[in-house]
Amino acid sequence: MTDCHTVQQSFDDLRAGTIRPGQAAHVRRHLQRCAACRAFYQDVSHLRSALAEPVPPLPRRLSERVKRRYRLPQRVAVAAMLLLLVGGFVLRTDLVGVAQSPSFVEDWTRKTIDLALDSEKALPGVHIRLELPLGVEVEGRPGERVLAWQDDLDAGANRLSIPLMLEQGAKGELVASVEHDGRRREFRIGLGEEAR
Amino acid sequence: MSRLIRLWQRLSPAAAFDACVQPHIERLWRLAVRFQGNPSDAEDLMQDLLERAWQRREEIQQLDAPGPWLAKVLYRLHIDRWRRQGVHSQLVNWEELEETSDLMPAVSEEQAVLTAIAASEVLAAVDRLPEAQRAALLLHDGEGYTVEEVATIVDVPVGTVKSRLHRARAGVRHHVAEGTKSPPAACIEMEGPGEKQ
Repeated sequence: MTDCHTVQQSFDDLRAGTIRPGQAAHVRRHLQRCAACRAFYQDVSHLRSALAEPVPPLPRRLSERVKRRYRLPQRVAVAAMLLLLVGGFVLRTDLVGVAQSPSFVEDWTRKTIDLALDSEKALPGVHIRLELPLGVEVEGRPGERVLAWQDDLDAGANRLSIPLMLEQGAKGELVASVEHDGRRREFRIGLGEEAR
Repeated sequence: MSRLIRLWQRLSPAAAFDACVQPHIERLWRLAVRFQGNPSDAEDLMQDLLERAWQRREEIQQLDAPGPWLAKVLYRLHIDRWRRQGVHSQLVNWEELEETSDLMPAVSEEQAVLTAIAASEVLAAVDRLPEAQRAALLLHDGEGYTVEEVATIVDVPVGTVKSRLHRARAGVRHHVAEGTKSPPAACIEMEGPGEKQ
């Protein structure tokens, strides 16, 4: 009986492949001669199947409630594309395209700005700074007009999506700047009515 | 983690929270429904979980695998609710119960007893298990958490989880085989995560 108990407690290790080879052989030999343990093994499989039965779907209202509460961003089409080329220590900027498809939440408009920072080599300790006009917020950072942080850029593409919330009637420019090793480049992106 | 995500996290706590939690929502929802037994209570449990997780979002975002952490919070919230509902009526020394587990004989039926019955009946038998065993079974056999993860979630040693799993499986077979009408053993087994600490 003790052996049956040990064998039945080994089923999970046997399934997971984490059992020692010698122990696995012992369990298999035991299963061949013990009908009770074979039946137990079958029942465990059936039990797992029953527990895998579907449950009612996640209520949409829960998902919506959570999103409203925390204002989780819904990805929208790229609102604007800014390509900031960082070649070695020399910074250059180019505007390569503008496209937008904002969504609307109450009196606010969502808009996502994608920054592409391409670097020919890895650049450690790059200072990145965003300045926002009145009536514009980064989603999840209400009331903050300036966001600044330091980060390392990888060689190649570094993409930064900035989810913005624009109050109705808000306009102005988002000023993005990148600074490294005493060199600084700045780029301005029009936001608000005139940019829609 | 991609460069995009790292930069995103610096800017948007809500987006980072979403990125951390969203991949686990479906699994947690299944667990909540199984724990609570109905979608309505499961929804309340999920709401509590997400509020708790939001409060501790910075801690979550530092984790390599937030899934077990979230499941642990869900389990604790479930146990809190279960206790508040007054399911248990007698206090039993949990250590004694754990010690006696090794004395429990292996199930002796020589025929599989679950294969011929509907899944709903199997699940009904699962609901008759002591809560600690039921939770181990739902987490491991239902949602696929490893024994080690279950041990972390319910805050007991791995050996205890293995023992609970074995007794839970044997218990389900017993309930089905005997068609017993006795009250759920949850009435006497009130162990929760906090008591092992």
